[in-house]
Amino acid sequence: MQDSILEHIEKLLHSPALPEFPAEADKEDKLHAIHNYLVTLRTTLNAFATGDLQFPVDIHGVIAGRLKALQANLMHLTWQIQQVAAGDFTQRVDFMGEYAAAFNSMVTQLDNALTSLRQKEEELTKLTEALRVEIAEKEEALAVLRKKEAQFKHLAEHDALTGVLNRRSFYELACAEFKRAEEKGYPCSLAIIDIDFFKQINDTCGHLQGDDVLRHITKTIKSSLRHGGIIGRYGGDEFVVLLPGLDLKTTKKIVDRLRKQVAQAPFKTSTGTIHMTVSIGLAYVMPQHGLCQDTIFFKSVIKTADNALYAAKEAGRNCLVTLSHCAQQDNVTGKE
Amino acid sequence: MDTLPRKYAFNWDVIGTDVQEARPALGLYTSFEVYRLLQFTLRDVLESRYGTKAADDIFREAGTLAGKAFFERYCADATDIPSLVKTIQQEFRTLGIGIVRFEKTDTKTMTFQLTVDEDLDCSGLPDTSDHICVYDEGFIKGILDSFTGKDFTVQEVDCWCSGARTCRFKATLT
Repeated sequence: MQDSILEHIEKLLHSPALPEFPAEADKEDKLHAIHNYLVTLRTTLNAFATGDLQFPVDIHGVIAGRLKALQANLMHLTWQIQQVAAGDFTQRVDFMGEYAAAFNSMVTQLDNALTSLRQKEEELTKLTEALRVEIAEKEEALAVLRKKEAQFKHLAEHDALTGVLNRRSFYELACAEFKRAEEKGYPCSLAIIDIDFFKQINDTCGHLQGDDVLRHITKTIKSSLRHGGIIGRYGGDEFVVLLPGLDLKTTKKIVDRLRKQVAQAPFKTSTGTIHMTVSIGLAYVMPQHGLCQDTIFFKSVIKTADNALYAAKEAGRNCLVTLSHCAQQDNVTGKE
Repeated sequence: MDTLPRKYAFNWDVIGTDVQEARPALGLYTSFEVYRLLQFTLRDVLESRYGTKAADDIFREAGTLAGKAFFERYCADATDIPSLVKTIQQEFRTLGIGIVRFEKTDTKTMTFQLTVDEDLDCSGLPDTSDHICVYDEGFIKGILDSFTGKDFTVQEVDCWCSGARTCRFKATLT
């Protein structure tokens, strides 16, 4: 009997399978108590071993007490790790020997690494900010440069006195427009406008007043070209106007209206009124296929308009003479 | 209920404002046996007069009062649960009340679980299967109530006297 009891206790301690309670010892109450205690102990240890730290320890005595202490330590460690995970690096363990040293070392190193990372992040943020400021400054400088560049471009393309295109820019635009007119097959006219007796204005009123007159004329030309058109200063007191896409009748109507408006809009100065008239030579062009591609063609159009202007002056000034670029036939309009 | 004016309404002044001066030779501390002598004789009398449950209730209520006073004196600077936990751990250790360790702090459900090792009230007591740390229950409740402004129920779920070698408390909103 004693042997079977001892053998049963030994199995409870060592055997993986739970042994049956020995039938012959069924009346031994103390053995029942020890059996139940050891079964509970096995179940509790198994729960702990598989990670169930919340498993209730329902037995008493020194072994159970140690087991509860171990359970409390493990649960507290779990809590401390959760605190570290939440960013509390002040957590330290002062129990569980080597584990405590390892835990504390890990948290310290984590803290140091994160502090270092934070410092680097701060440095990076400062650098980014500095870079942002530098980029903003450069963008500002670039904007100033672009503005200057636009101003220079405008100055390079426009006449400083009147603000209309200068001769070179007018040539470029006009050439492009003739090319487009040829491709699309629409007509294109070029007028040269000359202020009659402008030299006299300069001589009697002075060159500064002469400049004012040029600006005044420019304004009048611009306002009368309501249908659009490209205006340029050809030189001295001569202006050029390109009118694309209009038939001859309409073109003549517009250009002659311009002439009349100049005559009807004298320039008023502090000392008196300056009456002006203009002579206009108009070259009407129905572009020929292939001819408009080069500057020779354009120069020939200028020549036609020039001839027309010469004819207008010959006809007594303050009039419009139109020449078809191909036929070069005189057609004087508005002789007053 | 006595109609005479109260004599023992607690505040920190009633226990002496200058303890150093009061005990220049013996100092601040005494044996924890003396503390227990006072506590357990008082329990004895209270239990004899009013029964075990009433004695426990009185002790728990006194613990709550003490916990609130403790909070005001030692924990008033705590701004959040982690800082409160740290303060409690530090002051319990410094004052020799016990070694506090938290096992759960769920601020969403306001559920806390903590253990007190080497508890002043019960460590080393015989394994009687009883939970006797009712004063601690009240004490912890007093701290948590003061900090959160809410009403907590604190229950001792494991006690040295039930063989745990450490006392475990669970605090939940009432």
